[in-house]
Amino acid sequence: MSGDTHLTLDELAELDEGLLAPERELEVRNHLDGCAPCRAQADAIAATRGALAGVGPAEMPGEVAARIDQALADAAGATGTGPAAFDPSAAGTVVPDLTEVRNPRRLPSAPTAAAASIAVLAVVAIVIGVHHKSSDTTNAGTSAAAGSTAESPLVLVPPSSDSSTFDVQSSNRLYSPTTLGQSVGALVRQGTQTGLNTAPEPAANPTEGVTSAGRRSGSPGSGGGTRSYSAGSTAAGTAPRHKPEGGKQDTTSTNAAAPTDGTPLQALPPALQPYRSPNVIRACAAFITTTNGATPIVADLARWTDPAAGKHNIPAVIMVFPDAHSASKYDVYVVEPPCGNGDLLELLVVDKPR
Amino acid sequence: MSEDQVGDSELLARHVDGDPDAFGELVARHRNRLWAVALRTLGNPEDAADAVQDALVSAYRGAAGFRGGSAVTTWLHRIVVNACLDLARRRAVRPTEPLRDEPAHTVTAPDVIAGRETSLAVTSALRTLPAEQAAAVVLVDIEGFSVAEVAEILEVPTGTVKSRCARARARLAVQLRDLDPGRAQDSTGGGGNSPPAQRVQSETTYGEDGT
Repeated sequence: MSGDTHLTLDELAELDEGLLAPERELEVRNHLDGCAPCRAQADAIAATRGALAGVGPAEMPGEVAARIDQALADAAGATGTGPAAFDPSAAGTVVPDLTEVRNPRRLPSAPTAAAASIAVLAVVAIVIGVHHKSSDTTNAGTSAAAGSTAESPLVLVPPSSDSSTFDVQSSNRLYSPTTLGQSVGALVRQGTQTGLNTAPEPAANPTEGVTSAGRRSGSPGSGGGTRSYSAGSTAAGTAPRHKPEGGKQDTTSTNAAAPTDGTPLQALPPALQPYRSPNVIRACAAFITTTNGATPIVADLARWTDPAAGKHNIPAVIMVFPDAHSASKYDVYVVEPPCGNGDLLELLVVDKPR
Repeated sequence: MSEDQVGDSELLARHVDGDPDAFGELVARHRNRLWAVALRTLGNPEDAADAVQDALVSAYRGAAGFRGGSAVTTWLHRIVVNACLDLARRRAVRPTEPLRDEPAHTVTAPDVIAGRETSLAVTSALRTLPAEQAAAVVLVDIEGFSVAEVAEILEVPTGTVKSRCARARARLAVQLRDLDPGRAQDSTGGGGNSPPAQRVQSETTYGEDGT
């Protein structure tokens, strides 16, 4: 490499780390003195260090901590070398529902999920789409959830009662950038008002285009239900809460609120079904929490259309966070499953409806 | 939360002697940092949980083999990072989704959310690195370990740590360049009348679609 060839980022990173041989380092520095583009590249290395240093601490999600404590307790019992009765409470964590601990939460691989989701969506269209073309169904938008509210006995815990708790809905409704503010407004209203049955119709579409979420028949206590999941660890057991089913009553845990209440799952694409598990949805939230330090207000298992990005009616987890900088806004994360492994599609900041 | 009067080595010794609470206390002290390393090295919480669990169970069982030549934290990090690297190797393919080319689309916001976006972009970009590079740069640049400590954790020479970090930063720089404030403003400032509310901006972005 001669002195007038532009420097590579690799070499600039090596310079930055002090890895270059002395004579080469001299050449590189001489080149930098006279080459603004290469200095900009060198600045990019420094900026990258800065960006890395700016990544904040992460907190292990409560259910991961609980699962690990349980694994340690199992190890103690299995080997006999450790204490037979390892006490997870000593580590300040929640005792989880054992069924959840023992079920390894392995998300389906993306291609499988995508293929399966196509198949199931087709089934849904048959089941619920007698009156609607599938395009109507997919365009139901925000009206779907509003329509479902009156019919679905929702189990709601206002997030304000416990900052580590958030509601998870599985409306399967369609979100898009243009209607996001309205949709999220409706979602948050649903998630924060107990016994709500007067949700206004925020969207242009009439209820005729209702999706499957709230209209599946014959299952009282099901439908597009909402569950409250604890996102934290130790605070989980403190808030009074309504449980959707008679799970094991463990005073230290709300993890028993597993989706075992027979809710029909047909409408929800397979790619989203794992997120009905508290562990999985909280892990998904935790992935975002590692970057913004916040707990979601509400999450919705739904679909996303963004023509500008070439995304049409894909399964997505919609997570609404408080905006740390403005009380009048929400941060809306649109996550394409598998969460944490796939793409964050969007971070959109929307105004709260007045 | 942490009882500073009892050191990590003492806790580990108590655990080896059969104290039922000692290892739990040790885990409670360090779990968040171990989690952060695993999460950012592996790039997703599912794998991170598996790796940390495997690592801590083996640390629990193998505590008697701790030689005391290094700090307990170094030892714990070594076990966790090894579990991460093992897991990454077992996963034939690491997800290598590049960031979007179009920051105006994913980064709707000006300064307000720039910090969060950057963190998110960094953690996303880390997923595109080979796990060995990711582990090195996470430990040094995010977790703040010295190169010597990381060499001990990874059980490689310091020069190897440095070159892994350098290569990692070079790759990350390519992906993060678009988040540079000056450039990001260039690419988002298509209309000089961009309103203060980000939502309106997203509407202008998508306005022509009519959906």
